Amino acid sequence: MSAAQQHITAVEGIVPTLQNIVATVNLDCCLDLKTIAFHARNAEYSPQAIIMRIRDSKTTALIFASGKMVITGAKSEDNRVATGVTKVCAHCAEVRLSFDAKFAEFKIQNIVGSCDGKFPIHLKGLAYSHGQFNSYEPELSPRLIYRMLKPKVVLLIFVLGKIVLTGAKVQTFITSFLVGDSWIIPR
Amino acid sequence: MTVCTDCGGTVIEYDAAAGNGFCVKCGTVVEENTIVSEVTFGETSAGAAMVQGSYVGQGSTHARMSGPFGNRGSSESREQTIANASRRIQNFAAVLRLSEVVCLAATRLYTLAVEHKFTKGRKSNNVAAVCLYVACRQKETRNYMLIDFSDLLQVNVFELGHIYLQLVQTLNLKLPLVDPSHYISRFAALLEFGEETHKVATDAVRLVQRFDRDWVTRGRRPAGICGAALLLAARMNNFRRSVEEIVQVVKIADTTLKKRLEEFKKTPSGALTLADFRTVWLDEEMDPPAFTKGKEKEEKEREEALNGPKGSPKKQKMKRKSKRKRRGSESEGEDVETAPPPEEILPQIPMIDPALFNQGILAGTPESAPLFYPDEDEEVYANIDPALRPTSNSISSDLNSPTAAVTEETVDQALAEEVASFLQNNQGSLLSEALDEAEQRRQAQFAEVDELLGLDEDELDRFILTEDEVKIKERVWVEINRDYLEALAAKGEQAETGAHTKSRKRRKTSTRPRDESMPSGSTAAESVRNLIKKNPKYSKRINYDALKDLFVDGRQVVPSLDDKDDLYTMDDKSDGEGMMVLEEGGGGIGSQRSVTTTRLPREEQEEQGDEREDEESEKGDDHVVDIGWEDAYEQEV
Repeated sequence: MSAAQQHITAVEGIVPTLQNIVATVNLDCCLDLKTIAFHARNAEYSPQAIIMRIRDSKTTALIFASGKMVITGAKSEDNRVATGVTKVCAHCAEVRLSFDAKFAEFKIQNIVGSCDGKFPIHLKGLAYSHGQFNSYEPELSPRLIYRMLKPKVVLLIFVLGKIVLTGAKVQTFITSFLVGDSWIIPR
Repeated sequence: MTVCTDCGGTVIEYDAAAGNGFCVKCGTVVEENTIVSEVTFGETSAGAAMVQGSYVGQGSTHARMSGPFGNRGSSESREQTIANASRRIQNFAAVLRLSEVVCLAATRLYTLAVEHKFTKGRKSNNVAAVCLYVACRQKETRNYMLIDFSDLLQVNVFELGHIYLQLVQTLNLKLPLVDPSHYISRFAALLEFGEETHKVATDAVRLVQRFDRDWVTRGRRPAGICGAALLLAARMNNFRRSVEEIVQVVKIADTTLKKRLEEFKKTPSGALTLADFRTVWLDEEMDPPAFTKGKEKEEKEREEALNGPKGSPKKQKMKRKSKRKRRGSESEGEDVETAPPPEEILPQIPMIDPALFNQGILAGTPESAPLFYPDEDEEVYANIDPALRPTSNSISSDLNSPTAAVTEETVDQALAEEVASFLQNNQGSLLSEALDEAEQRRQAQFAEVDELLGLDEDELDRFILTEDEVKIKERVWVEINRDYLEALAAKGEQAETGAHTKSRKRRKTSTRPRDESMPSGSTAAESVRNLIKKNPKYSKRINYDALKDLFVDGRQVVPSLDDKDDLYTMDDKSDGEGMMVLEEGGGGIGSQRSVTTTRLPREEQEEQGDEREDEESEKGDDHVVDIGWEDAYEQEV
């Protein structure tokens, strides 16, 4: 844990936990999905894409014929798990099934985190005071959607103080949101 | 000011009926054909009276011409779209009994949406309804919910809601929040309370406000709140309204309604008598129902974990009391109906050292100090991060206080300077080198990882199936996806045939721009052959078979061309071109030129053997022509 994070912990008692990381990677070669699907034990094949699941890290890779791959479900703090999964899949493709797979353009597309403030949040007051950033429609959903500009994260805030953070592409966005914007939580 | 162009006179008289203005001094017509909004009548050739001029509709950019050709639909596509939407909006408004003002606002919103290309890919009906809803929200006629519109359109509420949220984001609108009390009057009217409707509605509104105070409304659908409030208000006024009736009116599930009632029961206001409720406004607030529920559960779990120690509930209670107090004092300003807060009379709760929370039973629990600070600070520091508030006796918070931050900053600066000076030394450079090396080593490690190495081979082997398994899996898959595969095959076939027709078409179009008399081919030779095939008697003066030979066998022609060059003394330029053709193997523009160059000498020579060739070419027999030309050529040689 970095110093900044420790600081947050000391201050708030709340550190968002990572829930999901979505990443993409390009294997840079056309894949014959059928071959992979039929030869790999952990692959499901729907005609558009292969879904490959890795048990131990509970991540799922979606592989397309163009060689592009989407990895979801990683919860680790760094990219290692996601990378690892991709590698397993890529290696399957490359060595065992003789595809010329590379490992290019690894990019994290979305990070989802969540935290529990453990105190009720006055959604209405928040909606009044920061009207330009949020939308609160109790008729449609109980959450308040708060589009923070800096860091660029979307917060879904619930009455009970539970907050879901999404849309971040860098992990520090998730952990740093509370430092700059603790004012959004007063009741 | 208009000035006469002729004499410079400034007195200009306007004739509104004629639509012109003239100078009084010299009589020059200064302005004519002005647009007037007056009805004038003229006379037709038959002597009948007719209205002159044309009609300009509101919001349209053109005058609509009326005349012998009638309305020719001259309005723009966008105008038509907006006109259609306006009609739709008016229809909805008529059903919901909304005012004309709201209608106009909705039409304007729709125009904006069209300009933002928001209507593309969305049903115009839905967008129109959403525009009307937004207009309702803007115009303070907030007694309609999105669900009413979805009811009208027979569309899912959430579909409309999605469009609504997108519209608000696209147009960057800032709408007032909905409050359940807005809907009360409408629902009350639907429930047939007769003359007492207003009384019931007032009670219901008070109930809703009480709900709001007790955090029941937060994150709940307003319809449910309204339902519960109305049910209670009806009973308060001796009306017998069943849950089902309410459900019909407010369009919410009965379980939801019952939940809301249950939640209200738990609040202190729920325990009041009827008369008391109407007069007494408790300043006390409750935690959100779900929050207390969660807390109870958590507490129970903790107690179980710690074998039920006696200290914990006590402390919890203390905490909650202090919190409740805080909330009461803060929200005082917001509320209109404030009775003197009773809690001010209560004995002050002593300041609690936040550090205490981190001791004893609660040690290590995540919800620690900052959440429940003592009251005194709250007024002043309400908008400041709890952690940044100065507290004297806790060490951890000392570090985070503003003064500490300032000193930290200066220290950081000093450190940075020191480090910078050090790095410029000899020693420093050595250090940085070592660091670079370490960094490189680290990078190398990463690179290694990125090359898909270091994976467990056995583990990977386990991922790969054996041949038999592969076959089984394949069969299963084909069986499962049979429909898709069949569809795919059919599609592929269609695509193939489609491609054929397409290519044929393309060939047709490509021939069109060419000269009609010159059938084309991919190479010059081919085009010449096509030409001969199409029209064998293209010219009497051509030896057709020689032409054929010319391109079929490039190698053989080489000496003959050279010979020709010698014989007929062609100029250098044409010779060079001829050579080029041979290298290219008869393709492109150069080769076509070569046709002309070879033709030139041939025409010369053909003059000599003219008679024979004429006869033979007229027969149209290629074979005979071939011999004839060769003969002539031999003669020449």
